[in-house]
Amino acid sequence: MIEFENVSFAYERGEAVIDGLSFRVGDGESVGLIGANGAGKSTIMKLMLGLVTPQSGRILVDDLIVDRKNLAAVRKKLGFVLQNSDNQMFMPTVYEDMMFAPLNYMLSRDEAEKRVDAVLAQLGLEKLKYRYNHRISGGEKRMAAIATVLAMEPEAILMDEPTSALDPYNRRVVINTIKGLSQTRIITSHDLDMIMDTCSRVILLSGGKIAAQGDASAILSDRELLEANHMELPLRLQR
Amino acid sequence: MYQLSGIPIRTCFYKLRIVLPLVMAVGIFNPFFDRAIVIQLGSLGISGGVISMFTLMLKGVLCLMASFLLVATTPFDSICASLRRLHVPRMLVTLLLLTYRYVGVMTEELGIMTDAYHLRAPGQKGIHISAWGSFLGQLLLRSMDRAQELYASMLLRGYHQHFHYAPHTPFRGKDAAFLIASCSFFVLVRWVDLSQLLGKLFVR
Repeated sequence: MIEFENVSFAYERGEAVIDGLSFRVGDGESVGLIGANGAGKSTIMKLMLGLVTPQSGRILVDDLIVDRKNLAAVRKKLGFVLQNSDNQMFMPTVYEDMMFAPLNYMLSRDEAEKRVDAVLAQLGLEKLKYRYNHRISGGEKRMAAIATVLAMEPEAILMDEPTSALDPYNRRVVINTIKGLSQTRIITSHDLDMIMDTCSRVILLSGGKIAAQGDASAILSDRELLEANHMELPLRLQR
Repeated sequence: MYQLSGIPIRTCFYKLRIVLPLVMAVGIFNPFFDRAIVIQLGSLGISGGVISMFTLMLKGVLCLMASFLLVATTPFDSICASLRRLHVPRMLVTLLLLTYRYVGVMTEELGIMTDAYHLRAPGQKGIHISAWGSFLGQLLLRSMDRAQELYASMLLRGYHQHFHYAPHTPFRGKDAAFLIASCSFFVLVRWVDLSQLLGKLFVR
């Protein structure tokens, strides 16, 4: 369970990016964070992960307050898929990248390898295991980035624009993968069709505040609401 | 060693072509300082300076070749793991490993920026000197942003100033053979003056 309680945040001496935000994401839920550029979506992710600290309010992950003391425990529970997979994959091969987190969490090399193999099999990525990160395609890299996070066995997965810059085939592969995950999912994206496919609930952000939240199909089919917040209906609903 | 590793020596010289001139420049002034003739080849007198210059060059080239061989045959992680086993401080090894990783990030950014520059400066050779300042500044800022994101990705996957290197391979028969052969060679050159023997081939 992830909970924001009246959280406000501003980058140094700037305007508030997040302004008194409160919401809750239950276990196993799949929630889409949508909003125009600068609405605060990525900052919310950073706040959850403790990469930035709120000026007021508190964030709870499984009843643990996200603060310096609990940072390691909180980060163990949350897996984060970055928008740019090149920044996520820093080891030479997919295998080494996937081993990175389990080894850091003190698994033995054998246990870590078993976990890596299980994740690769789950995602059908066995052929990528020993490939060099800089020699795989964008779609493969995105899937490998998801695999590196799943190898952590996190309780919740946060994804920042998981389908950006992917061709239709690879986009569909990523969407099906997200749909197949059992963990709590929080996804930020401008790809509203993907949000419609993968999320049951949507939080619409505007100027660091919640403009609307509720059932995904209800919010994503509300043309007026979306246009008032600099967004458009998902492509499949446009005529 | 090159034969054993299966790396063509031509590849080594091709890769080292950028640094070889620097190595060659080492000791280039020696012939001017030490002009005493030590070898007479017919009518040609060879000075001590020339010999020391060639010795320095040869040493430099051999060092470079050895370094290239090490890098070409051993993954960088394994080199770092070996350094740790030699008790090189963890911080230093981590710094080395991350520098190696970030060099790739920086060159990638450099490539993107150079392409962007040339696409808007057709026909221009290189980057104009007036753009160097902002170009380098931007490169630094962009590399820092990317490095920060990479570091965040590491932290979020449990990194705590400690890399788990690949397990070292067991000591095998051929490792023992190599160790014995190299130790025997060094013992031999310790007790037998090979350089004098070689020198006698040229100087009486």
